[in-house]
Amino acid sequence: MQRSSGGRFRVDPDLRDMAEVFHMPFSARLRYLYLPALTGKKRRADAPEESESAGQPDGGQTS
Amino acid sequence: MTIELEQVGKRYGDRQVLRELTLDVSTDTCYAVTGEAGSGKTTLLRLLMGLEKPDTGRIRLLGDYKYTWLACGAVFERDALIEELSAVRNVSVIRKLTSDKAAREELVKLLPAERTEIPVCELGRAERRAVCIVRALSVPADLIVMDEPFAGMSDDERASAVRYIMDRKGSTPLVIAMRERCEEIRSFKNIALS
Repeated sequence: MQRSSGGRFRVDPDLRDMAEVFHMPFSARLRYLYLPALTGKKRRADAPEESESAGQPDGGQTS
Repeated sequence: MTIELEQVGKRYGDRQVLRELTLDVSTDTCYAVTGEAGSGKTTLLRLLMGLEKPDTGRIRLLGDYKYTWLACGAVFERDALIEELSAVRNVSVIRKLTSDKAAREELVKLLPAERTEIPVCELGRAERRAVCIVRALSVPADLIVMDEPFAGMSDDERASAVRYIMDRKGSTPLVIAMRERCEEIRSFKNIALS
């Protein structure tokens, strides 16, 4: 999901967590996370919705 | 270095996921976090990675550790791969010091060479998990956490992956979350969640 209900563009939460944990360089974040979010590029057809917005990192599907 | 969890609790809405969990994660030790879906395995790993904060209790770093954050190598439950990039680029892009060549040399230990150069969205489940494992072990880390790292793998693929992990991890503490312990990780300390 690229656009939040508030109209702001949002980075895929899984990729955001990955970038944070790995301390991914900013240039790589910009190119592969932020710009695709801005341009509305979809990750995958079956990419999960932003489950974190429900307060659960896994959307409550698994542990 | 030891990560101390003391009486840690975590809740999402009305659902108490972890309750009064006390645990030490120490250097040179491997842990298997087991439990059914919803038992808190992923939550525990996210707490260890610093992606979540406990609602109750505390998490402390003990010993001679000068930073306030941990460097983690991680396999995420839902891969968190950059779909349009190859396996090689997914590994090399997270760290400036990792070249494509170095990434390829590691990936071919778990994947056929020709599969390392195509977009990861074209890879199968087990191949994607292999990419995640290599990526997790390609960064300098104080802690390695892996959430269902062998999902979709055959017994042989899982055995190869475990050998690769144990060869690469050195003395870094390793925490693997799985529904059930497999034979290869029987010797790990068990953390059973319910």
